[in-house]
Amino acid sequence: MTTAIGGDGLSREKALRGLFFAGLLDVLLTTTAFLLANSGVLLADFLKTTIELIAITLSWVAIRRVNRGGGKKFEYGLGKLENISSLFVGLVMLLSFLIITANSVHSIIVPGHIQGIGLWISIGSQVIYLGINGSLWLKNRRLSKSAPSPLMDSQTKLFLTRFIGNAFILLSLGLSMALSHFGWAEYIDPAASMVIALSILSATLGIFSSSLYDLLDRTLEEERQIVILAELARHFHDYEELHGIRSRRSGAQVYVEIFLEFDPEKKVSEIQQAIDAIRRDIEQKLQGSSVTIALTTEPVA
Amino acid sequence: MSKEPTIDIIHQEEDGLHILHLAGRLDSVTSPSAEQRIIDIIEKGDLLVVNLKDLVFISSAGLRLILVFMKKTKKRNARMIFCAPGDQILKTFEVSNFLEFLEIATSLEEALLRAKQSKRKA
Repeated sequence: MTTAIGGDGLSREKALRGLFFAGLLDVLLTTTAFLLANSGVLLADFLKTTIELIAITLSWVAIRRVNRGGGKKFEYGLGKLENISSLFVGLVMLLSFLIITANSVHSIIVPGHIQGIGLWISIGSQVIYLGINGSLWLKNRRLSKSAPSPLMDSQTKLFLTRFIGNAFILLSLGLSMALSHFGWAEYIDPAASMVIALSILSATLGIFSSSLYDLLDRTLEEERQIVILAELARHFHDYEELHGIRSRRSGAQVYVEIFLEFDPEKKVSEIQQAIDAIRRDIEQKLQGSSVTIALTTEPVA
Repeated sequence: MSKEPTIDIIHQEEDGLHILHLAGRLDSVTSPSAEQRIIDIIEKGDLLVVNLKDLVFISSAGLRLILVFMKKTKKRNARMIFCAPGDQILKTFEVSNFLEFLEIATSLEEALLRAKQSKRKA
């Protein structure tokens, strides 16, 4: 199966390339900050940015393959490649959740004030990335609306989570440092890292449910089925009988097969014209659809 | 426990006029059982009235069935008049362009009157 290079696909690839380099810089900063401070929040931040970089890298590779055509190397369809990438990211997120939780529990049992130059590196980078992630979230939301797919949806959610995460980490580090003269302030850091762990778990569950759902070949949603029928109704007089409709979704792609019977007295050119018109109209109305119209004289299950 | 959706089909025949009363839901669960039964009736008669007064829901599967019925009716040069659809059903017909080819009467009485006039002309 091959996929033509479209304007949408190329702009998505370009956006993901930009996100990859931004993510790489973020990982370098969070790694430095985490290594130079004894903060659970900074450990969580390091794992979170690493997950995001893995997600972006996989998405970038998937989109590149989609844009250049999958050939015969990926046997299950390129739509599924996106979903399998999302599932892999989900597994890494689950692992990160467990690491952060274990570290938080340890910090609650053996509390200590956070300290080190890493805190100041993190505060500086959080302020910068708060602005960057805010703008990337808005950019991805725009792209996701113009070319909806599980991949772009997960990217949009990812950058919103990052934006909120930056604000939260900034607040947590600020409070831990400002209130360090209180004994109970030692618990701000593990409590905040647990909140980050729970947000990662919540995002993981979302990725698993949506990607697993999309991996299963399934029939179309009701409103899309009605779009197909509305077009068949509009072309009511162009064909003789409707013998069946099959539809399924694979990732962002929608496949529709319609089985029609035509008047045997009609010329082949007239039938071809009718088929082209029905196919074109449905493909225009259903974004990302590929419509096949088959001729038959018998009902199809 | 949720109740399984059902469709009740009552068939009456009066003087060559076939009247079908549909009650319940016409969806992917109920359509398969309704399909063959209604096709058998379509193949018997030239004049059919389908009373939708008690049809509470129609899904895309139900719409597909109506499209199939209309095609079979047209092929046999027969006539099918739908009557008394509720607002929800009528709205579904409207958004799915079905009003372009369906003959709809507002009540059963009106549909029967049209059907009888059609018979007299024939």
